[in-house]
Amino acid sequence: MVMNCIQTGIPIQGGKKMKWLYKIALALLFTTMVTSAVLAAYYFNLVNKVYDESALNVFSGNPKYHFSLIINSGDDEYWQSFTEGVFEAAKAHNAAIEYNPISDPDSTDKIIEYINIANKSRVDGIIVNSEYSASYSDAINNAANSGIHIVVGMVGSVDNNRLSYVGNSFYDYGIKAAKLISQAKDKRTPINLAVILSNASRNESDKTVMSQSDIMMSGIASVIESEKKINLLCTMYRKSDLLGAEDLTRSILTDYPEVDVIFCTNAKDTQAAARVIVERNLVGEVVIVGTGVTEEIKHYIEKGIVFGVLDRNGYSAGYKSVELLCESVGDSFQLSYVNIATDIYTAINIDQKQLKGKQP
Amino acid sequence: MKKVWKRVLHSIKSKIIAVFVLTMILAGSTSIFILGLSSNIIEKMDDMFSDNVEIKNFLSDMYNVNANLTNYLVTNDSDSLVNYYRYKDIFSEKAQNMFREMHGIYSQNDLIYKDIAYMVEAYLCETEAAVTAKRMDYANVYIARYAEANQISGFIRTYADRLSLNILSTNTTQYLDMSENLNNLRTANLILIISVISLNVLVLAYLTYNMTKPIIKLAHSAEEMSKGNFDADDVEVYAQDELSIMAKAFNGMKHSIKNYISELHDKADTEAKLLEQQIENLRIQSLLVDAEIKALQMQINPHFLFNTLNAGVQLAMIEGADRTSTFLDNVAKIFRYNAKSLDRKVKLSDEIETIRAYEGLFQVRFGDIIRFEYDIDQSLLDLDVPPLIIQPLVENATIHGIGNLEQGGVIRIAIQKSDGVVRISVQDNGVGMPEETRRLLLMGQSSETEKSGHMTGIGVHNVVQRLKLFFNYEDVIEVKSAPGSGTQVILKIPCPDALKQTFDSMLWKA
Repeated sequence: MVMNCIQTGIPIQGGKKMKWLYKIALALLFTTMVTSAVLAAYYFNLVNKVYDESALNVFSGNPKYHFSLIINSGDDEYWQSFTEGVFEAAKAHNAAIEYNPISDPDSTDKIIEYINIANKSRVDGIIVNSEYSASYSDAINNAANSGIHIVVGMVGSVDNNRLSYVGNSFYDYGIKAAKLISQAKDKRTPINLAVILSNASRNESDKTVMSQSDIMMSGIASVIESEKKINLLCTMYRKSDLLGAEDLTRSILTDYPEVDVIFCTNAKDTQAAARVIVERNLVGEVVIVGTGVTEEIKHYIEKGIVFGVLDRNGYSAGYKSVELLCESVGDSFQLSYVNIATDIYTAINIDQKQLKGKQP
Repeated sequence: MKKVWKRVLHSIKSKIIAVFVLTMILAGSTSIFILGLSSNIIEKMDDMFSDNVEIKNFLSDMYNVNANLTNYLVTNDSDSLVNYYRYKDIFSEKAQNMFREMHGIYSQNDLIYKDIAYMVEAYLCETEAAVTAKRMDYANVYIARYAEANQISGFIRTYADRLSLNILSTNTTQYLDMSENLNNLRTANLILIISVISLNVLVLAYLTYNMTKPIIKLAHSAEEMSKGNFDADDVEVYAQDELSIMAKAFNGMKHSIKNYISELHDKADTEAKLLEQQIENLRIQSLLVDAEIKALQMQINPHFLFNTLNAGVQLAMIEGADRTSTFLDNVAKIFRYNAKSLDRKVKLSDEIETIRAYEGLFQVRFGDIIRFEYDIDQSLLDLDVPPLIIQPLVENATIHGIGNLEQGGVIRIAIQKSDGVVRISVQDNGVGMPEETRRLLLMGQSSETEKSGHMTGIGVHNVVQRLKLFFNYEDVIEVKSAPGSGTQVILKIPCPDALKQTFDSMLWKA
């Protein structure tokens, strides 16, 4: 009960109820205060964590080597796997990889600049994914003179005795591709073939030099000639992303309705061609023989849209590039050639690719 | 703990200080906590952008080196050479500071820093070679060195730009990742501040209320006291501070005032009773004086009257008139008895004897018309009583009761004891009296006619007052009467035993 003083009007006695309300309010406010303080500390830690993790940028350890990786930053499956292999190998061999992406694979100036920078930066080794070109000679020679080992991820037709090579034999690649194409259609007459080559596979700057695609095509040609099962209708070059593989496939299907097999030399083109086949409702009539293994390509193989693919094992190539550099650092230069096997996957063995996973 | 707390908070001052300190600690610790968080975050933000500023300054230094080198090579200006060396030292020092050893944790940016450091070394080597060649006038050499240095400076700029871009990109990503948590942190801080303010207000209100509650109680109690209510409950203060002392003092003061007032009341009552007693005594004295005056009026020359009456008695005896002799003897007895002072005491037997003389007079005057009957406990006749207490009643009975009745009447006089009280009853079978008259008689407001015809001139009221005074006993009279039914007046006096007790009591009081 609260009694009021008549003159002063002051409550002279607080009831037990009021005391309880006070206690409850105090407890609630105290709980809120503690909770908000804990939450503030929690969010502060999260902010710190984000800050620290961003600063870490994934690398740790005391690297023995410093390599520069000059590579196409595009979305080609082979080079993505290659890069992945490089970093995995670097982790395994305690090497630091300086990642120098090149957006335009034909930008030789940029490649030269990066080679020169790597030279002046005193790196222990350089990995370049570009096909060797004579225009790199000076930069490569300068680097080699500084004792820097250089690994090229593509095996070109012109050797430079200051380089090491890690990659597929494109001639062998062409033979394997032709053999897979010849199995793609069960026909008594020769299989009508159209080929889509990516822009990176042709040396536009120096027509006198055989490019990787030329070597691969010579491998295909040798099989065509020997087995007489394939009739090469056309060879298309995808010069840029503006005229993509989808447009080239549509052109082939329009211009060469008799085509049975379309051969693509990378995963992106393979997927694009398969999509056009589905779009044109030509599943079963025209099949794709592609390159590279992605989840989408696995799906097309299972559906029979893609007959089979050639896997150039980019991961393995990247991994072995780093291994090669690590082995050669400190030693005098020795020409090396590491051949990476090209695997073939069809609906029969595509599961093995899943089981195999990524191995060097 | 509670005891320690109570011991510490033993005064209002210490309580106020404790409340102040408590709220200050709450608010202060919250502010420090939030300040710590904010400072840390601001520090991180500074870190995020300090690298960009550092790179910008680094490029500016390289520009200065290159500009002075160019100027020197072109103009051979010695000032430019001096400036070149000055900027070169600064630039070289900064480049060395930028070099990051890759131990433990490192990033792509650390690799770039390392590259830049090496490139700067190469660059400065080329510039130095160019300067040396210039001094030796090897034009082709310094031009080639200068070209090489320019190319390397281009590489440095490329990497520095790339580094800035990477840092900016990282910072942007960081900021985006952090922004949500920063918002949550801000909300948590806001809630924290609000809850601390509310908590402080509540704690202050609660403690202030607890501190002022005893004062309010005291104020209320004082207000009650000012209204004259001293029966309110004592103010209870559980705290051990000045207020407790004040409350105890206040309660003590209240009780003292209450006792003092109570004593004053008792004293006033006693004085009032004493005054009343004095007034009563004065009144009785006045009655006595009045009765005595009346008696004196009747005792005009009483010796002459007694001598005359005795002479008449003797004459009647000589002449052989016995009835006359008896008559005069009775008259003489009555006058002698009435002439005595009223403030002396008499035996009850004296009163009865006087009544018998009075009866003798009446028998002479009225014969058997008025008869007297007696029912007297002889053991009570030695009882001391004031004089002339029965005669006025008998006179009333004869005059007002049966005086006007032609057939006459009976006056019955009884003295009996019952319930510790001696009852002296004078009863007639006369005309009686109405209730109003009976009430006025009991209140002592009877008319003057009541006393007319009386030998003594003393009324019932006089008798009653003298009995009260004599016995110190209030309930001394009872009147039973109704028109046509006669009247009985009973005088009640305490028994001798009771009288003794009363006497002892009076002695004790005295």
